[in-house]
Amino acid sequence: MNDIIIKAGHLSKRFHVRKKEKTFLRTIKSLLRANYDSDELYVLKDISFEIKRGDKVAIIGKNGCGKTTLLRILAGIYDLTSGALCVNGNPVSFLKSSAGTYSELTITDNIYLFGAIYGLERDFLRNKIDKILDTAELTRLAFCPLKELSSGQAVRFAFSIFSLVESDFLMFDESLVSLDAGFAEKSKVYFENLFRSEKTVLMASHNAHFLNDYCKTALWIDDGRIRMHGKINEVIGAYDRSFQNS
Amino acid sequence: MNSKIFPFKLIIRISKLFSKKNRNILRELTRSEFKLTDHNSILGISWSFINPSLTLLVMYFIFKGRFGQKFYAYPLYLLIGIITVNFFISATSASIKVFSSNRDIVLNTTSPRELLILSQLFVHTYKFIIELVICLVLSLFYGIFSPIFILLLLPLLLSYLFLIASFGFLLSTVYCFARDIEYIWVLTSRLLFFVTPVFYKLNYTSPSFRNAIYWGNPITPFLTSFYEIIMNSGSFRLSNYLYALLLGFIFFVFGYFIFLVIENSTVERA
Repeated sequence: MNDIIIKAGHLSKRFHVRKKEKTFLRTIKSLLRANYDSDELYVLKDISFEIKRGDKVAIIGKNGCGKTTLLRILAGIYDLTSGALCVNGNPVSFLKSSAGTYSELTITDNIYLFGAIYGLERDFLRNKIDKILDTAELTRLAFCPLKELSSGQAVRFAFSIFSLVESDFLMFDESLVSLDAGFAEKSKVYFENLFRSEKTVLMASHNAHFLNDYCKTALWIDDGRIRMHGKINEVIGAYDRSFQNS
Repeated sequence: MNSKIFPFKLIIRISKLFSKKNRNILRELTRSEFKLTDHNSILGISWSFINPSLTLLVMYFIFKGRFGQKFYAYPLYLLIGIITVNFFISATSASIKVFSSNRDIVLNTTSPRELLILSQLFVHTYKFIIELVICLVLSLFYGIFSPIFILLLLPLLLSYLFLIASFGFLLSTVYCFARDIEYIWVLTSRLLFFVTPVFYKLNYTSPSFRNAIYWGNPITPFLTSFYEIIMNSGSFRLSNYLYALLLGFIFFVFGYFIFLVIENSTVERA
């Protein structure tokens, strides 16, 4: 079995951003001149790294530094603009708690839809539905539309289902944002089990304490480039110091 | 995507599309879309039948004097035309915004994006099949029902789904680049009832108009085949039927090709 699960070489990702507000005349002009009236924005610039199977890696960096874009590329959602990427596995990624839910439908309906997106069958979920609702503390709201939940409850709902997903390669993006202390305590068991397992885990978050507890190494992305890659406490220490210096 | 290896990619992609996991996603998406269609509505699914019934009544009273006296079972003829064109319009219109309204799924999950279009298509297909059954019952009532011809209905329906799916791929892709397509499609949809033989027969029109709407409007071969199968009047043309089957397949390959070629740019603009 290949020991390296992710190998990225000189990976870059470019987006096009509009220079000016879009108007009818500007659109016509840009079409006539075959000039798309936009600037190139490199969100990731020439980054190279390797991740070993079984590693627990934190991805840290300021807002907009490219963490989510990197996770989307690794998941296969975005294509890279240039460089090479080899992912030896099928990562299951928890990038946004509202992905795979319809706010107008009931919580019960959404359990089946959200579960399906992450590979869970209806029969399996039917047997687990009480457990999911109980874990998410939403038993009394089972037939309420999802839109009536607070943002914290919505994350609890999604996380309670996602925690049933069996995969040896998982990715999380800001998964514990807007969770209350009580549920964070509940999810601790899940992350502790992940930490002790052989699974490969990538987590992007701003919560240094959380990452420190459940990751062994860290990748610090700054302005689309890798600023530091190493042991978690060293990278987080350097990351924290960067704010004190600035 | 390299166009030389496109056929192989297409086959791999389609085989993955119907994996166990993706079939489950498609089932749940279709179920959810179906529930959302008539969400918070008192009459629920009845609206899907009220609309064609009212159109049928209006068209029957307007056109029965001009066209209705010339052939047998005119109400059935009208109904087949209305439901076939309505199905095309409603399924394609529902697909237009599918990527932008499901942006969270498109940008945060690895589910194939085609499933979103197919789920919309299947919701409307379900309703279309019920309407077709009503047409078959009417055909029985008029004494023009033929069980042998009915066997030809399934391949035709499948090919029609291919045609609609191809428009779904194209429209939803274009919508991510230019929202104008939504307005253009609303206008086009209104014209479809007039440039498709819904309330008139093709042979009542001038040769140039007939050629234009037969070769220029992809719905026409399908609709004429539906007429010939459901209203077994001895006028079934195999060439027209085979042309419809081929057309659905060609459109599907073309629409899916365009979708796959610019899928990544589409996703980023969803």
